[in-house]
Amino acid sequence: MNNPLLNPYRYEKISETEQPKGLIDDHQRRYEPYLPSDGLIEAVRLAIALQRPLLLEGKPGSGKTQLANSLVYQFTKNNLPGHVESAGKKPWWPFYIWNIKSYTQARDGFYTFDAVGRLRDAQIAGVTLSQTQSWRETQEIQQAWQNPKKYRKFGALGQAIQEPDKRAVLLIDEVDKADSDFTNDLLLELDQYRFDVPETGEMEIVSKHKPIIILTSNQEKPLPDAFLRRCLYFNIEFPERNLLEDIAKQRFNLADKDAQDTLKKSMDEFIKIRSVINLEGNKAPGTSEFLDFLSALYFQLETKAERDEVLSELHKRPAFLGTLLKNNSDIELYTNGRRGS
Amino acid sequence: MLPDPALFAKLLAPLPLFDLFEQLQPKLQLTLEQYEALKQSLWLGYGATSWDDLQRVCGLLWVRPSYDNSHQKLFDREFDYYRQRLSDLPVKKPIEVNKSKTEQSSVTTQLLLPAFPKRFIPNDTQSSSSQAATRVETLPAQERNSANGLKILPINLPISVPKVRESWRLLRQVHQLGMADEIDVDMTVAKISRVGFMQDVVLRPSWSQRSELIVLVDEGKNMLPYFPALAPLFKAIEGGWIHPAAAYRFTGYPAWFLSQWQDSERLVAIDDLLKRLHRLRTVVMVISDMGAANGEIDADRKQGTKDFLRCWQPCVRQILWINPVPKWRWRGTMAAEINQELDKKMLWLGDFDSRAAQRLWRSGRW
Repeated sequence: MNNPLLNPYRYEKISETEQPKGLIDDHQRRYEPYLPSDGLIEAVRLAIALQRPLLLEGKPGSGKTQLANSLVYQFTKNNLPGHVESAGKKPWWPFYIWNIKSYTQARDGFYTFDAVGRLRDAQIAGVTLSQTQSWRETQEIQQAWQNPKKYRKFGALGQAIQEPDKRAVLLIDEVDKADSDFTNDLLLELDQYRFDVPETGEMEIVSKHKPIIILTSNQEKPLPDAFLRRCLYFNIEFPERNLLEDIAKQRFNLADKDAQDTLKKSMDEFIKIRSVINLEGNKAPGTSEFLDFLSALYFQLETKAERDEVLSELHKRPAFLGTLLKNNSDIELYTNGRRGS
Repeated sequence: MLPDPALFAKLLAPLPLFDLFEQLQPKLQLTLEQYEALKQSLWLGYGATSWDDLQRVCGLLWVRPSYDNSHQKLFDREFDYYRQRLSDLPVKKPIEVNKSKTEQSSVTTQLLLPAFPKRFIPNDTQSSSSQAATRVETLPAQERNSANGLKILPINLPISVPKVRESWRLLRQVHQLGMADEIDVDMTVAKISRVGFMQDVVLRPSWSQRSELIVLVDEGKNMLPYFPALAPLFKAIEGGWIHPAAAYRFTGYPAWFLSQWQDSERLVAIDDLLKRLHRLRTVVMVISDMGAANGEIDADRKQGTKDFLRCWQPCVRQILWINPVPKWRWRGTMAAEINQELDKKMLWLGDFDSRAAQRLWRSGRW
């Protein structure tokens, strides 16, 4: 690896030995190996260089969310020596996650203001003053509710913008879940990386170091053109067989021949399932489901014979099949196909 | 390694690759800011080593997501054309999207039918062939191609299970419904600051995402060819992706009784149905050509349809009318009159996508 001091925001393909294997950061987030394609690496580098958000699309389970973890891991490893090995005792690279829900509003990402709490304190102060409190206590309560900043709490985007000495990584997950006005409300702020808090009179909170923003979308809802023009766009395709094999090998320590044989058979079956489901136009299982399936095989079954039995009669083992197929019509489709063959 | 000489020359220009931007701008609706992003990327060393490299970077900056990847395909085609033009390769003009669809249709028409039957248009009885040609010239490109031999196949209509689900999600957007029974904290605090003390809390209707879909399908003979195109919609209903939802058939116009989609012999009285529909939650989707396929004019049917709209509109939140026949065929038919009745919000099935659903939702009740 080149001297990381030259570019603290370097993102590159890393070798198997450098990959994180179940590492935990200071927020108890878990880090697993991640193998991005060359195109994705270039997209990340360009987004960092141009200081623009990167919008990732792809089927569920294609690894959109994991990219942000991978960035944080590499930045921590390159710039904060010893921190990744500290089992979460030393702080990792600043990493904020904003999980979007259908009711999320743009302002929530910057800050929330506890108006009810302030109202309650004001009421308590008004009722109890001069009854039970001493002069000092009265002053404390008065000062508390009269200072609106005490009731303001910064959200993920607000914190990422205010990061004092690094470009934080901000993951805005499943941006398409929110109302269509949500992205429109973020346009100005994502352009200029600044925001106001009118309730406290804090105006023009500006970023010193623009956060690296990764947005993910499951293509459930189209996003406005004005928003898309401000982003770089990358679609994560389902990985080729070789890449899928590498991903599985890095996730599970497949040293012995039996385990590798299971992997080969599992991949054959998985690819068959995908083609059947794709033909029907339904959502085929992705990488994440495949890794869950392998976890079930490797961790629940001890011998190769047991795993072979499950793989040969997968249509009769709903618990295992359920890790790949998530609705009854898909399961029936696959089961009928197996019976027919 | 030096890049291709033609590319190299373009990179050294005062406005590098501006002609590429000019070529793609109208088709991809690019902004100058997006050109600036390309310039900045080139300056940082991205995309300057080869044509493939440049194509990837331009794609990252200029391509927008689309369900069927059409934006990416359009970009790739236009970029290849630009590249061939500059690299002294035999130039293959990019194939227009519409043209390719028409060509594809002309091949598949032989096999898949149906094409539209010839029809009688009352207002056109005295028009000459040259007038008809002039009228065709004024149509948008896509429809002009369709007019050539009237080759729009149901199989080409852009409807799919994911699209149906996406549109349904949009129609189910959160909105305020019913009685004011939820505390509006912001308004309460604003009132306290205005009055000086807490008088009372301010209430507002609660937010709800509950919606019900009723699909009414015209099963007249002109509609039969479109049933395969509607299959994804019924698949989404049967599969529970759209829930609660129910589909019914009618012939001519919905009056007195509807028959159930799954079992056409089971009838449902419209009065009974209307009684149980929620005025604020129900979205009704009517799928009918309304005589546009064959230019039929039937006074009873027209009046009956108008009565249906007047009867149903107060009982439901929204009525969406989807017509499988393209807009330019509505002229002079009952479809045009019903479209007027609907404030011109009748939608061609080919235009039915999530954006259209969003627009209709925003336009409110009809």
